[in-house]
Amino acid sequence: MTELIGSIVILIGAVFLFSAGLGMFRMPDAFTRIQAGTKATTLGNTLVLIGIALYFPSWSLKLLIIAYFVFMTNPISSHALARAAYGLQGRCGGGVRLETAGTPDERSGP
Amino acid sequence: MSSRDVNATPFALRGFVWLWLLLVAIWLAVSSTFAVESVLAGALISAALAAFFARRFDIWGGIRVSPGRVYHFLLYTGAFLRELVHANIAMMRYVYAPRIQIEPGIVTVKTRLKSPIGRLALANSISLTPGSLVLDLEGDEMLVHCLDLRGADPSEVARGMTRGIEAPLEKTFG
Amino acid sequence: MAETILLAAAALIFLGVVLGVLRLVLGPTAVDRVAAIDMLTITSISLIALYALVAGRFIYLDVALVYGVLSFLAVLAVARYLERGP
Repeated sequence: MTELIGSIVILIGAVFLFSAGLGMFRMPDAFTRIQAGTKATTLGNTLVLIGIALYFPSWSLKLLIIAYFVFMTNPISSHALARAAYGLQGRCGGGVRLETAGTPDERSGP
Repeated sequence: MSSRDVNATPFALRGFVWLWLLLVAIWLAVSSTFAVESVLAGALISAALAAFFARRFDIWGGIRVSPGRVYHFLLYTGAFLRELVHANIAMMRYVYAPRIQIEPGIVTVKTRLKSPIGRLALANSISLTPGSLVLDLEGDEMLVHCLDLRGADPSEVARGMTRGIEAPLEKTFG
Repeated sequence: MAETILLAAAALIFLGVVLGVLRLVLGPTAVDRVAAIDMLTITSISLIALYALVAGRFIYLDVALVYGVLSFLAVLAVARYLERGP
């Protein structure tokens, strides 16, 4: 019974991970892509790890460490990426404000 | 709350002890064994790392532990998890929409938090809450990228972002 | 029953990885590509953990953890490089 519940939790996590990929593919500019990639993967990864912990309760300590690590590092790396994107945009004359959704792909990468 | 008390233990030492305990706990969890050699090696390596980082960065000195703070930290965790699930459902709504209709923009958020670690925790939480991503952190001001500003007042959005998370963090970290 | 659900979950994660790789290849700017790598990393941690479950090997979780640590450092390094400019 716990195996069934665990696999269903893993499936829900997989749905979130898939929607992270879809968001990464569909979103219009770098900031929104980073947002889609960060949030959905954090929850999806946590749900997959919870599902595995339901299968093997003796693994839960190490799974907890992995989940906590992802919780701590994912916002930091997304923040560093967003800051890099913001700096690049400012330097290439994109201006400080980005009010429209259409600004994304004109600016040239390095 | 100032991070230095009059009769407190030396600044770096307090940070050292908490960081050491944290690192040893992580070591025990990762190695998942209680063999004497393993625990001893872990304690030594953790002590060296903790001494180095506690002396270099005084961010670790701002951490205090008391039952009230632990209680408020748990409150923060609850609020954070609720926001995380909410953020994901909001994100799914945008991702699976037939046409993505968003109006991204940047707002400035001011925080009441004083300690650097509290600000770090707040910035991390804002990055994981609905439609917002911290771009830059300078003093008590944060630049936050918002996914969708359609028909919303930017200052109202900025206030809504810290609601529910800032208060428990303030009680935990000061 | 449980195995079928796990298989479906693995297939879904795989589709997500395919979309991430498409963004990695298409991505117009360097930031888009690194963001795709960041997302692929977290997805890979889940995949490795899932494989540890299917294989029943506790030790594979260490692989997931070390993989996460290293790619976090890589993403940070590339982001700092991009920030300082080419």
